[in-house]
Formats: sequence, C-alpha cells, structure tokens
Amino acid sequence: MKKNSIIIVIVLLFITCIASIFYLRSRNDAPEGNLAVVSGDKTVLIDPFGSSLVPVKGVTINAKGQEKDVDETGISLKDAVLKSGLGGSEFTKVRVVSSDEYAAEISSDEINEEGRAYLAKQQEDDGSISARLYVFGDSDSKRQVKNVVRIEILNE
Amino acid sequence: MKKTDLRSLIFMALCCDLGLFAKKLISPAANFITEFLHIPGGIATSFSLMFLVIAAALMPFPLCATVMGVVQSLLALCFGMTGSMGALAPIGYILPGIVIDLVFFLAEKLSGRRENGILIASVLASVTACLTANFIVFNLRGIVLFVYTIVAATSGSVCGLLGEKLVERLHPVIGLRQAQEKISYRNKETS
Repeated sequence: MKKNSIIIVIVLLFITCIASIFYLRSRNDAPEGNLAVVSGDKTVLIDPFGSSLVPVKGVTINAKGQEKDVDETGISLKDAVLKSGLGGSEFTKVRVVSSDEYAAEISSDEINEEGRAYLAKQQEDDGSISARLYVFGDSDSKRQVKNVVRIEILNE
Repeated sequence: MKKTDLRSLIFMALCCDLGLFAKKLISPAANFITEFLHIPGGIATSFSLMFLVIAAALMPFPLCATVMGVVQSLLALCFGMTGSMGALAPIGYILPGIVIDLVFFLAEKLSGRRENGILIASVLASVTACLTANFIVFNLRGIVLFVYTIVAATSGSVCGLLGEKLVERLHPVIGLRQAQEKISYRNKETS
C-alpha cells in the first residue's frame, strides 16, 4: 500500500473523530419517551403518548408501489403541535426529524386535514417506545419517519 | 468499447452486481455506526462504489464507470432497490460513475497511471453519492451535513485503500492488456 494513501486515510479518520465528537456533544436530544417541539428559540418537551391515544389507520405505499395497511395507535400531528402550545401562532409547515436527522416536511394544510398526518406509538426491540410519522395519501412512503425525536415549527 | 473483450465485459457485469448487492450485505454493520453517529448513512455506499472504482481502474477505456453506473441504476430500478431516492435513484448511481471516470482521466493525464487515482476516485465518488442523496432526500444542513460528508469521505478512503490492494492483485489476470496478450498468444498457437 502506498504511504500517501495511508496518510490520507489517517487524516480523514482523525477529522471524522473530531467532527463526530463535536457533533454528538452539540446534540440536544429529548429524553426517552419525549419529543422536542421547536419554534424559533423556544423548545418544549412533550410526552406524545401520555394522554389518550387515537387509532392510526390507513394505507401507505412504498417506493416499489406496494400498499401496506397500517393499524396502530398514536396521536395526530396536529394534536402533538397543539400539546406543545407553540402552534398557536401562524405557521406554514412543520419539519419532523428522526434521530438520524432524516426529516419530512408537512404543510399546515396537511396537518389540519383530518386523517392525514399521525405519530404512531411504536415499541422498539429494546423495549423502548418511539414515535413514527405516517402521512397517509402520499404516493410513496418518503415522509414516513421512524424514531421521531423533534418537531420543528417553521414559518417560511 | 471496440477493444473490450468478453472477459472484461463479464468482469464489469460482475462488479456491477457486486456493487449493488454488497450494499445490502454491509448495511447492518454500517447502520450500527451511522445510528451511533445519528447520521442517515454514507458507509455502505462507499463499499458499493469500491467495485465500480476497481472495474474502472482495471478497464482502461473512457466512461467505464459511467456505463456501469447506468447499468447499476437500471438493475436497481428493475429490482426495486431504489431506497428512499425512488425514481431519482439513477442520479445517485450515475453521478459517482462520472466522477470516477473524471478522476481516472486526470490521473492518467497527470501521472500516466490510472492506479494513482483509485483512492481519490473512491473518496470523491463517495462524497458525490452522499451529497446527491442529501440534495434529493435528506436536506441536511450545518454540522450534520459536514459529519455525514466526512464519514462518507473516510469510508471512501478506507474502501479506496482496499481497492488499491485488490487492483494490485487483479491486475495480472484482469485488464485489457492481459486480455489482448492472451488472445494473441492463442492466435499464435492456432496459426
């Protein structure tokens, strides 16, 4: 192996380690079972499944065009935003973010539409509870977000 | 392409398939790291692109990686392995292919040896793939995007290192020059 190649790999590994430490330390994750709802500078923690749950029923379509029936429990995204108390003012959309920073944007019209966007309660393999976003009526499942940790209320 | 013999084409097809399916194979291990780092990926793709880099390094004709990227994207569409990119998945396969070809073209022009571009081709192809996925699907910003990109670059460099070693081993048996030598040898034998 060339010496230069090994040096490049070591330098990149070093930069990755430094950047990862800096990034992981700067993350402000919500405690387990909670969701962080962010609007501007304000952050509110909510327990999405603390109160009564509603049925989450619908059909999702994946990238291959296959349909899947969903029959779970959870809360509507609208209720999650209202629960935080930050959705009172005008907002145009929300950004639902997972633990790996994958995000989906849902417009305020879609949020207000009955039976459209839900956060379903999911049990993980390790026994922990997580939230999964379902947006029914989409032509693919791109806006299905697993392990939701943050909801950002945007006005753009 | 006229100079390409059957053996080279079979090798390219094999690398296309390996690149496509190796991603699935390495995904559980790669996900373990990316989940810990809270980023949406970047490692499995680098491993997948390594096979494109190896083939392009051994087949010294222009647009080899681009052609393989096109074939991979067609296979991905046929098998429904498009991931979260959906119908836009071909862009994620073809763009890294173009970058690999470009790096090998420059490496050949500047140093006269394609092998000198393996590591850089692997790193840049991985970064291109990750930025394409970010543009189409993830829309990450700031520090997360930086970490995602640097992880892709690092895994690309590790795969590039592995690729260099594999090319070194494969060079005596695979490649245009070897194929031509073999054909001329057989011609001599039969004439």
